[in-house]
Amino acid sequence: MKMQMTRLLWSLTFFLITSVALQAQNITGVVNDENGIPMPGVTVRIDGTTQGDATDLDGKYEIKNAPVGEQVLIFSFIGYTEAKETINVPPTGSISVNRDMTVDSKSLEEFVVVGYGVQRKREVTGSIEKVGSKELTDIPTPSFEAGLQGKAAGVQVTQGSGLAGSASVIRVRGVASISAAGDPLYVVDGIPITQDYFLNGNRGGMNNNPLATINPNDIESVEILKDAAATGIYGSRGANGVILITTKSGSGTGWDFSLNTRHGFSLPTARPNMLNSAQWLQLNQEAWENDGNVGLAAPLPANVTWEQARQTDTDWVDETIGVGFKQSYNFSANYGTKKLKLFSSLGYDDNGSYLIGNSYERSSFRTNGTYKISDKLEVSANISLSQGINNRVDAAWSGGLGAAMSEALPIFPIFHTDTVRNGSEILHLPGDYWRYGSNPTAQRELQDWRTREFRSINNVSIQYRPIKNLFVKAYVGYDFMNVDDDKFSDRLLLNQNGQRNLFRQNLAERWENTTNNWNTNGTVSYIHDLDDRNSFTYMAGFEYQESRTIFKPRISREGEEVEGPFYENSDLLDGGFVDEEGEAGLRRDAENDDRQIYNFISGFGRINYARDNKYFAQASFRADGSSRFGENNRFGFFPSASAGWVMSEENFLKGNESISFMKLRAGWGITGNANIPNYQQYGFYTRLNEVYNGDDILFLAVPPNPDMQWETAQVIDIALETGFFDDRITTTLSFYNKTTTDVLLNLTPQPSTGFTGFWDNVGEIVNRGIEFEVSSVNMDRENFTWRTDFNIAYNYNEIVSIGNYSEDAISGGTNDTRVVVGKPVGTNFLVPFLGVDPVTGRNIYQDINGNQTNVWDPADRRAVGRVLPLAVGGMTNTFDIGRWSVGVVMVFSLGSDIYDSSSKRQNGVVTNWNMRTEVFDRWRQEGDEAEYARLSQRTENYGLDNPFNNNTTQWLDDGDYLRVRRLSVTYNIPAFNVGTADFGGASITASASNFLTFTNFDGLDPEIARDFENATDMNMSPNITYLTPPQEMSFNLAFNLRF
Amino acid sequence: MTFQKSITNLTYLGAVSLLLLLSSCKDLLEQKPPEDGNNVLPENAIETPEDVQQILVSAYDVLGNTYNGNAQNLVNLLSDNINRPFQQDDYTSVWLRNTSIFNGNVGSVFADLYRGPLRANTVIENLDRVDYAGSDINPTQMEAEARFIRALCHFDIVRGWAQPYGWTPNNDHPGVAIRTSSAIENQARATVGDVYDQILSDIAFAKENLTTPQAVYATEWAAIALEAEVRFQMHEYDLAYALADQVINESPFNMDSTVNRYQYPQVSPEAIFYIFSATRSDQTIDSRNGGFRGNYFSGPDQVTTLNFTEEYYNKQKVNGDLGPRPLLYQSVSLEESEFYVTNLFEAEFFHIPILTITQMKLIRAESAAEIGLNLTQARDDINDIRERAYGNEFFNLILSASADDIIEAARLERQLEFPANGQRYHDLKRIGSQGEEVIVRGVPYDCNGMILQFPATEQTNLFPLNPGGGC
Repeated sequence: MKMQMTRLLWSLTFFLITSVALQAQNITGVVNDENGIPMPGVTVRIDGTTQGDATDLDGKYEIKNAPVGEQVLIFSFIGYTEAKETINVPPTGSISVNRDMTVDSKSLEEFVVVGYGVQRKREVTGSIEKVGSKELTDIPTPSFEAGLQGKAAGVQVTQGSGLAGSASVIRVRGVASISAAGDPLYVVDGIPITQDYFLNGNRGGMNNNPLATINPNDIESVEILKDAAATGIYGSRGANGVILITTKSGSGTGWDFSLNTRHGFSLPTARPNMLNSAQWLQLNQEAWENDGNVGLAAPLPANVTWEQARQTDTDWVDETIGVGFKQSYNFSANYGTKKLKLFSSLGYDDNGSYLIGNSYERSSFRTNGTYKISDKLEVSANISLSQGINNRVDAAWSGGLGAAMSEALPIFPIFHTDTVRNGSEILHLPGDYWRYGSNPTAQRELQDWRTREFRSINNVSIQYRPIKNLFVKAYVGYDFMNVDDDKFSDRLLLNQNGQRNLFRQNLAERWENTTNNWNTNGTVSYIHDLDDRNSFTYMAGFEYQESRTIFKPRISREGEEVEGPFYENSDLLDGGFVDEEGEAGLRRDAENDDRQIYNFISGFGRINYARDNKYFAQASFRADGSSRFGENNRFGFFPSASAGWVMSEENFLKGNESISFMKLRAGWGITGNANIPNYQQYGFYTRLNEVYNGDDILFLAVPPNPDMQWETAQVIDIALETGFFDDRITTTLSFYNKTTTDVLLNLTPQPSTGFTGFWDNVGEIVNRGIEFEVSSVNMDRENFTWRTDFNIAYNYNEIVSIGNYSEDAISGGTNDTRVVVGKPVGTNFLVPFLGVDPVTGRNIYQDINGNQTNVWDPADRRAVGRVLPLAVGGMTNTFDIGRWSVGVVMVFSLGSDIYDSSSKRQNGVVTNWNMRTEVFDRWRQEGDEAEYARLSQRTENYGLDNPFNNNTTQWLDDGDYLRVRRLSVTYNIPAFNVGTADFGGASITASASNFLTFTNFDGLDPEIARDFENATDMNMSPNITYLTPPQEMSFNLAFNLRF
Repeated sequence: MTFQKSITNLTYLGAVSLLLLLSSCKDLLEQKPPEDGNNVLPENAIETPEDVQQILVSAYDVLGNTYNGNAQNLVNLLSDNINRPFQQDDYTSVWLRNTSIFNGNVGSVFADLYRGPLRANTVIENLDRVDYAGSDINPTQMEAEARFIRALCHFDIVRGWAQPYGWTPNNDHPGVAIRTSSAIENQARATVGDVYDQILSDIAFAKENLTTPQAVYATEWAAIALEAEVRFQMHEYDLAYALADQVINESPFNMDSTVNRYQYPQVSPEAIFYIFSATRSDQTIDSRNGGFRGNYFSGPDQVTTLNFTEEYYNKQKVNGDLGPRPLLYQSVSLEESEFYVTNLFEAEFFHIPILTITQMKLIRAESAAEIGLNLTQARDDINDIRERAYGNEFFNLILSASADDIIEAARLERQLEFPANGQRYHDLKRIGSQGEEVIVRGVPYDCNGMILQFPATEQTNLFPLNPGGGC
C-alpha cells in the first residue's frame, strides 16, 4: 500500500512537470524592415506582461513560456510605426509570428541638428528650418547653397550671376550689418569654415565662393538657425543666422551603392540687345549733328576711320555668349554593420556656363565613418578632399560680356586683315587681334586664366559614455584651403594696341593664398531624468578656433620662354627670384608674405528641460573672446532663453479631429556678428623701401581702434506650429524682432584729415518680420499624390541710428545707394526723373522743392527705392503619379527695386559705349513724346556734369519677380534584377531650371548678385546691376541607380 | 528643492571656471598683425631719427604722386588754355565748370593734397620722440621741410577750392580746412585770410631753418621762391619783387636755355623745387609724370585727352610757326575738325619743376611794373624769355615799353611759358581779384563753377560746401 502511494505521487509529479513543460509555449518569428531586410534590435513583447525579446542580427526573436490564449504582441523600434498583432497562443507547440515593420515617416523627420548636438523636432524651442539632401541635389546648381532658394522662410538666397563658380548672397531675416559682412555663419560638420568672399578681392569682376567646393551629393541636411534661441550657442557669431551643413553618414547594414549622372546645357535667361554698327554710327552721328557740328563725327572711338567703321559690324554679344555644357557623375557607397558605419563618395562635376570659355569643374572625394569601439566609446571621422577649377573669363566692368554691353563697339573689328607696318617694323599681321579699342574676344583668347581651389574639410571626434546618460565628446576639425590664381597673358595682349614691335613679352602671373582653419571643442552632456515626467539635459563645453591665412606676393615671369600659365609649365617656377631690371626669371612683388590670423576662445553651456513630453524650455549661454576684438572689449557674453508648449497634448486639444498638432514657442537671446576685419584695433604703420628719390618711407596706414568689437543682436521670436488632419497639413507662423546695435561702420572722416577710413561700432538697425510656411498633402490617393510646400517671409528693415556721423560718411557701396536713417539698408538715393520735355527734348528732373528743372544736382537726391525686398518666398509642388513624379519649384521676391547702373550710359549720354536698342525711342523733333532725351555727346545737354552722375529714377525699376526655378519630371524604377545583380532602384529625371520668369523689370534678369568691392558693398548694393551677366537657364537629364 | 539648488551651484561653478579659463587664455587672443614685410605696429614704428626722416620722405612721396600732373590738370581745366577734354568724364565736368561732390578725380586730388600736411604733421608731432645724439639728422631742419610741404599743399588747396585772395576786402570769405595736427577730427572751414596767415607762418619758419643745401628736397630757396609766389598771389608786389629778386640774384639756379624744362635725366638748371623721378637700385625708373604724360601725349597724330583751345594755339603761333617754343605745339586734323596738341610731354621720363627761375623773372617783371620801379630790368626779364622762345630778338619789348605794356607782356609770356601747370588759372584769379574785369571762356573769373567742389564727406555742420549751380 505504501509503495503504491509513492509510485502514484511520483507519476503525478512527473505528469505535472511534463504537463507544465508541455504548457510552456514559445513564440518565435522574424521581423523585417520595409525593404524586406531582417531588422535587429526590434523589441517584441507580450502586452500586459513583462515577457519579451529583442530581435537578433538575423531579425529573429523568441519568447519562451508565453501564456496560452489570446495575446497581443507589440513590435516596436524607433523610427517605425509600433505594430500590434493579436495572436492565439496554442496550448502546445510554438507559434511563429513574423512581422514587416513600416517606417514612421513622421518620426523620421523628428530629428534636427542643432548647435553642438541633435534634438527632436518636437522639443525644439528655437527657430530652425531644415532642408533635406534631395532638395539640394535636385537643382543642377554649381554650388549647393543655390538649392536653398525658396525652401526656407526668411532665408533669402540670391543666386550668383551666370558666371561659373559665382557665389550666392544669403541673408537670414533681412540685413543687419553695413560694413561688417552680413553673411550667416556656415558650419560644416561642426567646424565654422573659412567663408571669406573677398579672399581674391574683386579680380575679373567676380568674388570668391567659399562654398563652391562642397559636393551637394554629400550633404544629408542643411539646418538654418534663425533666431537667438537657436544661434545663441554660437555666441558672437550667430547674429546673422547659422547654417549647419551635415554630411551623410553610413547607415543600415551591408553595402549600398548609388550612382548619379547628369548631363545638360545652359543658356542665358536673357540676351542684351545692343546696337549694330550701322545703328551705332547713325545715332552717334545724330548726336554729333545735334551738338552743332558739321561733317562726319570725329574722332570716332579708338580713332577708327569712317571707312573702317562702315566695313565692320561685330556682334560682341555673340562673341561672348554661347551654350554651356554640363555633366556630372557621382558615385557613393554606404556600408553598415553593428559597429561600423561608413559613407564614401566620389564626384566630378563639370559646369560650363553660357559665357564662352567659362566653366567650373569640381572633383571631390569624401569618406565619413563612425565606429563603435564599445558600448561606451564611439569614434567618428570625416575626411573630404575636393578641388575646384574655375576657368575664368572677365565679366562686368572687367571685360567679356560686360565689355560687349559697354565699350566694345560694333565698329571695332576682331582681327586685322592686312599687314600693318611702321617704317620697317611690322606692327600687325593678318589674323592678329585688333586691339585699338575694347576687344573681348582678344581678351579671352590671348589670356589663360584659371583659379584652382584645393579644399579639405575634415574632423575627428570621440564620444565616451562613462556612465549611463553622461556623454563626453572631444572634437577636432580642420579646414584647409589653398587657392592658386594663375593668369597667362600673351604679349600681344600686353603690348599697347596689340603691336608686335613693342617690348612686352608673354607674362605668367600667380596669386596664391592658403588658409589653415582649426577648431577644437569638448562638450559634456548629461541627461538627467528626474522622474517619469521631468527630464533635464545639461551640456557644457569649450571651444578654440584659429585661422591663419597666408597671402603670397604676386609672382610673375615675363619673357620669351613663357609659353603658358604656371600650372601648365611648372618649370617656369624653378630657380630663385630675380631683382634686376631686364633680367629674365621669376619675380615677386614683395619679399614677405602677408598674414591674417584670428582666433576665438569660447565657453558655453545649455540646459534643456522637458516635462510630460509637452512642456519644453531651454537656456544657453556663451562667452566668446576673439583676437578681432579690441583690448577694451575682448570678451562678450551671449545668453538666450526659450520655451515651447505642445498644446495638442493638452486635454482641451487631445482628440480634436482637425488639429493633430499644435505647438507654441517663444525665445529671446543676444548674439553677435564677429565678421569684422582682423587687426583693426592695433592700427599700423607701413614702411616701404626706395620709394622716393631712392629713400625709404614710413607712414601711418591704419589708425588704431582699441574699442573695436562685435555687433550685438537682440532677438525675440514667437511662433505657432500646427498640424491639421493627422498632420496632413502643417503650418508655421512666426514673428521676430531683431535689434542690432554697435553696428560696425566703415566711416570716412573728412578727407582733409588725410585718412580715408576708420572703423567704429556705432549704428543701430532693426529687422522685424513675419514668416509663414505651410506644407500640405493636397491629394493622397492610390496612384496620385500632390503635395505643396509654400513659404513667404515679410521683413521690415530700418536703420535706426548711425551715431553722430553724417550719412555721407559711410563709405562703401556705390553712390547709387546709401545709408539713410529711418530707411532700410541700401536705399536708392536718386533725383526723380520726370520724363523728356516734348518741346526741347531735354531731361526733366525734380528738384528738392518739387519744381521741374533741367539740371541734375546731387542736392536734389532723395530716398526713392530700396534694394531689400519686402517679401520673399517659394512654392514647391510635387506630384507623384504612379511611377512618375513631377516637381515644380517657384521662387519670388516682392517689394524691392532694381537700379540698372549701366543703363545710365547705355541709354543716356552718347559716349564711347555701345547703346541699347531701346534708345531708338529718343526725341528728334518738337512734339515728340519719347522715352529718351535728344541725343548728344555733351553731358551738359542732359543737365549732367558727368555721364555717370546720371543717378535718377529713370534707371530704377520694379524688381518684383516670380521665377520657375525648376521643373522636373522623374520616372522611378523600383528594385529590379539583371541576371544575378540586384538593383535597389533607379530613376531618370528631365529638368529645366530658370526657364520661365514673370517680372516687370526691363533689364536682363531681376535676380542679381553682382561682383562686390567689399562687405559694405555686398550689404548695401544687391539689386544694383552694372553690366552683370544674367543668370543661366539650364536643361538637364539625370540618371540615378541604386544597388 | 534640491535640484534647483544643484542647478544653481552647477551654473556658478561653470561660470567661474569659464571665466578663469578665459582670462588665462587672454594672451592667446593677442594676434598682432605680422611685422615682417612692410607693416610696423605703431608702438614700434618710431624709434630712431631715421624713422622720423622716413615719415618726412613719405610727405615728399605724396607730392610726387599729386604734382605729377594730377593736381595741376584740374585747375588748368578751369582756365582758357584747354579745350573740351576728350573722353575723360571727370575732366569734362571740371572744364564745364560743374564739378559735383562725386567727381572722382577732384576728390582724389583733394585727398592727396591733404596727405602732405598729414605726413608733415606726423613728423612735427614725433620729433621729440627720438634721440638725436650721434645722428646727422637735425630736427629743426626736418620741421622746416615739413612746414614747407604743409605750406605748399595748403596754398594749392586754397587756390583751387576757394575764391581767391582779395575777393573780399578782409579775406573773410570761406577758405578750406587748416590742418596742423594729425588727429582725426572735424575741422571747421577757415577763412581765406586765416589760411594765408598759416601758409606765411609756415614759410617764415621754413625760410629761417632750411639750412641744408640738398637736391630734390626743399632748401631755403624753395621757401623763398614759394613766398614770392604767395605774395604775388596776394597782390603784395613790393614783397614779391624783393623775394623774386633775391632768388634770381643769390640762388645757385639760372634760367634754362631750353624751352622744354621737363627734362631727364638731368633736372632743368632753373628748377628750384621739383618732383624727381629717380633710378632705383635695380635700374628701374620711379617715374612721376603720369598725370601729364597720360593726358597730353597719345602717340603721333593722335588727339589727346587734354588738348588746347584754338585761341591758345594761335597765341603760341602769333609770331610764326618757327622758333623753339611755337614748335612745341601742333595741330591734328580729324575728318573736318582740328585739335591742338603739344609734344612737351613726349619723353618717357621727365622731372617736373614746381618753382622755377622763369616764373621768378616774370614775377619780378610784373611786380616791378605794378610798383613802378626798375622797368628796364623788368623789360630785360621779358626779353630774355622771348629770345629763348623765338630764337631771335624780333619780338622783344621795345625800349619805350610802358609799365602797362610790361604787365601785359608778363601775363602773356606766363601763359605761353606754362601751358600745363595751372599758372594761367592762378593768374586769372589774381588779376580778377585785384579789380580788373576778367572773363574766362565766357564766364566771370569768380562764378561758382570756377572753383572746385569738395568731396561729399568733407561736408559737416562746420564745413559748408561751395555753392553749386555751375556758371
